[in-house]
Amino acid sequence: MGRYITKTIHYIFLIVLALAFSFPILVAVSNSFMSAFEITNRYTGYVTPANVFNANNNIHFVEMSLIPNFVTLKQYFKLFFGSPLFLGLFWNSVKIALPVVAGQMLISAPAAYAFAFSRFRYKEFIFFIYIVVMLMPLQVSLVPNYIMADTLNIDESYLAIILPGMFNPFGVFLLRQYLNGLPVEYIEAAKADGAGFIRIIISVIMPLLKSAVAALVILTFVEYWNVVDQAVIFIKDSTKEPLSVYLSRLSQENMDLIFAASCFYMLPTLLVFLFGQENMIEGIQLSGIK
Amino acid sequence: MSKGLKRKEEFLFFLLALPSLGGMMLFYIIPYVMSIYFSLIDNNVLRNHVGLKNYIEIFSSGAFTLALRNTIVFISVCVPANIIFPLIIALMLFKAGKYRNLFGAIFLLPLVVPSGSVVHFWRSIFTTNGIINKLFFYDNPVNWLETSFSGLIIIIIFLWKNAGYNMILFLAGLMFIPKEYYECYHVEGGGRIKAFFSITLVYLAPTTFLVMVMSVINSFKAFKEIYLLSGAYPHNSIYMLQHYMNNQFQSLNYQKLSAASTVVSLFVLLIVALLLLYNNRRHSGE
Repeated sequence: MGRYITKTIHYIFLIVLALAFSFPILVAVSNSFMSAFEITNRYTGYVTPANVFNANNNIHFVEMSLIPNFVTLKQYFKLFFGSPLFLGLFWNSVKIALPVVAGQMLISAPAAYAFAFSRFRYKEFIFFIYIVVMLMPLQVSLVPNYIMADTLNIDESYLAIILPGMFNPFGVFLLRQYLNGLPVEYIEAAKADGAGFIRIIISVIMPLLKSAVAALVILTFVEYWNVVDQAVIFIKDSTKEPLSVYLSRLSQENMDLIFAASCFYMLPTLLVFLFGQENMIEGIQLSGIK
Repeated sequence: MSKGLKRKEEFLFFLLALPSLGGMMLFYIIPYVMSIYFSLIDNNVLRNHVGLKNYIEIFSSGAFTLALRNTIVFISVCVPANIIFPLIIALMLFKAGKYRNLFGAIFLLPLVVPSGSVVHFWRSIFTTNGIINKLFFYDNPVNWLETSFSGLIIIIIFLWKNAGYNMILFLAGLMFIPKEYYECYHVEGGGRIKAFFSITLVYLAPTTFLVMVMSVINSFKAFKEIYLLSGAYPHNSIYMLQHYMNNQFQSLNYQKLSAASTVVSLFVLLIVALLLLYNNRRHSGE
């Protein structure tokens, strides 16, 4: 009986926590269906005729709600048809995020396999350097990166962001930790069956790596979909900036489409997440075992 | 295996790792080394060696020491918080059984939602006409983002975003501990609390290492949220090293920026050394 009560308390706590965790997202989604008029009146600090009943003497407090007074798609209309710029910026973000993800997969996976199974003497030392680089905040190499980009003549293009992104050591770290946790017997068995080097990679390693790669894809995609720092520095032309930068500059005055913009911006990452979610959870879990 | 075959295999491994190694050199290692060089000269044109002058300059500047102190405090608070809090939740999730994956997915949501999408939400809670003021400080509203509580706010946002990942790591570690260990313990008369410390924490050690690494990385990344919320010059208590470096970059103070970067690199090296020490001590105990 006592056990049952504990379990129920656990469940209640978890549900409350889950609601708290998803609350900001639920607000963004539900508020995207409000009209600009409603949004402005809900969030502004000024007392307007529309919100005067909810205001203190000279200040109006935010009336956040999950239920719009009037459900409308006007925000989305304005997003798609009122500002043609938006879709272009969206595409810019895609142009940055997709190559990085593809590159990470192609570059990190082989390297992780090498780190996991090679018996090179200085392997651990090199991996140590990978960890150190991984922990460094990117501002550390701002100037040299900028100069490097200038030397390679890529400083105004997306390559200045994409190339360092593709070679980010996090991918190698995650996949190698995952591979370390896999039972060696799979490979031993394959070798006993006479599989050659390449055969082992294709038949044994690649299928097993699926979950870790899913986790890597999701995390990398979100990180580069979200990129702000590098974009601000390397991309000066405002029509070429990614969506993340544009959203960060939408000020209080532009409230008429901010929630719809946020939701639409969220959509690709949510889709990628839903698509790879089970694999990702498994991948994260197994990379933590060893 | 014959020596020739072994060498061939090692060479193939090298080939596999080559793109990654090459890219790392080109885009990370060489820039770091260049950065150290830049921190030792006086300006880009004359390139005179001035030794440690830039370092002395940044340590005498209040901005750098403030940023350094804030960053150290922030990491010292965030990393333990991001270990203890997810651990507790993971323990609860573990006992919750069936719906683990569903909860796991929900707790991961804040991580996969881009920062820009929720910045406005957080601002609406903590700003002058925000929810916190509405509920608790109706008569004296304050913009909490501009007070010394801003650090606490950032920690809350940081935990909201990053706890899910560590939660899942811990959950995996927990699932991996064989039940027999606990059963043996109970049979021999051990209490539940002692079981937690002697079994659970011990067998969670490898997971905890990974959790610590991820937490440090993520706490550096918290800069993005601070920047999105408060711009380039936030309140004093959340002015981080990255703000300092960003601003030096914008004002073209490349030398001071490089000196600051080298200090940060040493700091990170120290953290990694500590983490690896923890890892090695754990290994020697096995």
